[in-house]
Amino acid sequence: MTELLHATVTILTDPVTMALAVVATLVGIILGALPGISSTMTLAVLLPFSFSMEPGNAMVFLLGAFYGSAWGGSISAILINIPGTPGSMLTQLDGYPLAKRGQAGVALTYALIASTFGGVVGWFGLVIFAPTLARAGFAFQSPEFAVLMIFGLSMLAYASPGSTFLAILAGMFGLLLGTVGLDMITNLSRFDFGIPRLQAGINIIPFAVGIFGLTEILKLLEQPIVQEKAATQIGEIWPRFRDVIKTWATAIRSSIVGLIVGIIPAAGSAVAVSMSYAQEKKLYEKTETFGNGNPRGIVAAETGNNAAVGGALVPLLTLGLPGDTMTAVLVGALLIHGLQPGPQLFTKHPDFIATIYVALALTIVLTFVLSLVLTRAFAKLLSAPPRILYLGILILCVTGSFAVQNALFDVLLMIFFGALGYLFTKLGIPTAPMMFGLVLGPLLEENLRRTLVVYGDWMVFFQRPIPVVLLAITAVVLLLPFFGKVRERLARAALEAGPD
Amino acid sequence: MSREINEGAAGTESVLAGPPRVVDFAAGAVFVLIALIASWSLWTDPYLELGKVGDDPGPSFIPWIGTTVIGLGGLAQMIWVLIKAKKAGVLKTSGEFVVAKLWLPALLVVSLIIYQLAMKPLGFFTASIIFALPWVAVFHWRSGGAFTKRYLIQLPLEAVLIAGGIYSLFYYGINVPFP
Repeated sequence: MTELLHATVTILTDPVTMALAVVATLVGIILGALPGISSTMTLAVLLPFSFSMEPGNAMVFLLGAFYGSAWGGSISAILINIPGTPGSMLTQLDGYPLAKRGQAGVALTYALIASTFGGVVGWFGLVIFAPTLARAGFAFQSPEFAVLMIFGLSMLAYASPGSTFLAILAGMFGLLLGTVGLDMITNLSRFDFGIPRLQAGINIIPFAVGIFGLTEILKLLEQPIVQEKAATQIGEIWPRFRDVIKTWATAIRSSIVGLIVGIIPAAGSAVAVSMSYAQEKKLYEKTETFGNGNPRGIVAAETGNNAAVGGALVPLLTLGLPGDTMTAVLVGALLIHGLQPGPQLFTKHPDFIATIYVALALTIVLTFVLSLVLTRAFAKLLSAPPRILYLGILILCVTGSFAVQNALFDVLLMIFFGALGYLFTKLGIPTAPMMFGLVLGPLLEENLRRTLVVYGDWMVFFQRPIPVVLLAITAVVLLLPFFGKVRERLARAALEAGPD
Repeated sequence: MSREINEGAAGTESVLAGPPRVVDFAAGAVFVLIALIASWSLWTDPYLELGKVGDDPGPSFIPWIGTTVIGLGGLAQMIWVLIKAKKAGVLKTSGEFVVAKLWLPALLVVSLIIYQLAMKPLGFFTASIIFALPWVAVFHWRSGGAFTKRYLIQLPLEAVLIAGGIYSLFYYGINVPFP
């Protein structure tokens, strides 16, 4: 409590921190609103700026961009029927029809109020559950952490869109990339191919900027760039108060679903939104229709999406497990600043944890205020020439990669990973698992080898309850597709055999 | 989202199960190639074996696991595609690797490499402007823009402003010592 109070006073009275929060939230909203710029790309491109900041300010900056872009995605979903982020994919179903009826402003305000409510619930979830889970995390020693990393990697690969099998291979490739450079125990170099720069390992920033920034621009260049026109005027901003109140139950239910799904490693915001929306659709299927401008649909999607943001920070901070690519970038940011996410972070750096709580709360408030004031301006930004945006991102990719270590080699790495990401995308190989492998790989290696040194036996993984449970869940999840295929074949064979 | 769900060797959802494609085979081949490069690097390093002390499996342990999984997985993917192709009697091309689609992305990668190489001799600012000038025009053209007289002045101006703005942000804002 003292730390929380101290962090609040420190952040609110520091003009630099406040300016960073405002700028990051604004940039996050703007980039999130632009179609083609994902939240992950936003975070990856902004990550180099945080490198020169002290850890607290870096988190204020990155959380501002993270939360801002999560909301920003809804602006384009409502105004031009294209979600800026995966989390806003269902906001468009009811938001855009409302906008087409000349009520774009009302739809945006519904979404804003709902996302703020979801954000607040997510924040409370983070503040309540994170310390509890961190305390439970103290039962985790190296065998538990090693298996947890295997579990996390497998879940993240499983949840990636595309082929699960290729996602697992991509994750393993990321894990290999994480081993490039000097081994932390023996100081022997691996995979350096005679290039001295590689002995320091592969920095997360050029990698993330390449995979999530440059790759997207390369994909974009394949076809003519189509700039969608906002279909409507903004019109009235405020919905009727009694109409907003009608959706309170939806807001509460959806935010709880969003929070819980957000806490589950690898579930991500897209799953949270889908579940929240589906739940409300089911509950009101007899009395209301969805998908034609129903405010309840907007509220369900938005509360679920933003509650998941706070939820996703729980496993990230307490166990070091990212829930999706965005939180994987945040893990990378913490590691760059020498902060290892996990239970120890709560005892060694309680002030930093308090800073994260305050930063998220500040970002929620800033997003609400800035969006209300600047709704019309954000809408106009959607018609800005794409060339300015894409050229700016390209030069930012290069500059940001250089700025990490003031090394031209990092620019080359960024180009290499951008091109590789593009090739992988063309071949249908998911690229996000590589990021998870790069982030979680070194932690897996460290804990696995420490386990074997301390316990001297592989059997330790099967003699402790937590590793056994996690390994069992991992095995079930990875083998499910096999069972699905076998069942499918049996059913087909039974059909072919006929009733006899 | 045109082909978000794809079948792998192990298979996930068979919603889009269709005839096997060349790219599915190539995806496996890419992993085999990665595994070959990685195993060559591990084999030819005599020092890595020295790292095995006591119960520590050594610095090459995780890399070998990763390399083996990637190599065998890639191989399994290739075999799976060939078996499916034999059954279906066809190996479909996806239309992804055509010059009409690839030339601009390839040109961007090449110009980025030249941009990187030019930074040291020309300086970051000059190199950025030289890079930005043609590419702002390319993006303008790809967005369906016409090259009227107005744009002959506006586009170079935008390129200089974007490059200069980002340079100033990093140089003055966070003291990055550019070449």
